Amino acid sequence: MIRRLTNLAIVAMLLGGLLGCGWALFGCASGSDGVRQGVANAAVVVAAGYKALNTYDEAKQTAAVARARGGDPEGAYAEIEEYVPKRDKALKALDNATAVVESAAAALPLIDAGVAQSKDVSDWIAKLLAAALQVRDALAGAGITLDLEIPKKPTSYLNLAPWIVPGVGKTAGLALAFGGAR
Amino acid sequence: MIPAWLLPLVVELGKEAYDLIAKAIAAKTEERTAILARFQNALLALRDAKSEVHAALEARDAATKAAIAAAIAELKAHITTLVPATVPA
Repeated sequence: MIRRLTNLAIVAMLLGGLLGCGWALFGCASGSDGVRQGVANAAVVVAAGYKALNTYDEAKQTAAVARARGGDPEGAYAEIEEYVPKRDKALKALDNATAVVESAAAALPLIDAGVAQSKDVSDWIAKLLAAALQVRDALAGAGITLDLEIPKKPTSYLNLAPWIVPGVGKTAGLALAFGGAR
Repeated sequence: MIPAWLLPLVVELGKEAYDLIAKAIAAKTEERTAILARFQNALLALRDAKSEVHAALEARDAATKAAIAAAIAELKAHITTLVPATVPA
């Protein structure tokens, strides 16, 4: 009876390990899943940023061409000269964020192998979140609104793991949620 | 799949324990598969978006520049034709 109870307790602990601490028990670190989800979230945000920028740019340049053909080419030229540096700044931020996403993805084998420390995992999540925020700010500088829902306490990668929810946006048809604890 | 080292314990505890563990492992495996798929799809989509948008912006810049230059040239030509008629000799 005591042996059976002991065994049951062991099974309960194992299940607790599986459900609570994640997959580490069977050789797959939950930290890597956290980073994977962070990479996926950031990738969705950055990809949406690229698309928003493209849509916005198309509208802006179409309007400028119409203005030029309508008899004000000098004004259209000035408008484009003012707009393009802002757009390029946003594009640079998107490219930088892409580099962060790619670096995090490249670091995953180390995290999977258990070589990386938990601090490294948190650092990657923080970098990915920062990249997403920089994309939002850079797009705002070019006149594009990207709605990101950021968790209130982004201290733990577990709180940052979850899902991006595409929705209806204010500008360029975008709204994204980043975060939300599971 | 239940790991081999866990099987003797499971056998001793019976079908209920087996089902419980198998269910937990299956759920975790499913979740992990979904995370992996989402991760890979998101990365691919990002790479596609980056290259597509860079190419589109480059092409659009060139087209806009050409259109504005053509409009300026047309305007200049129009002014040139107007000037002799409006300026007294």
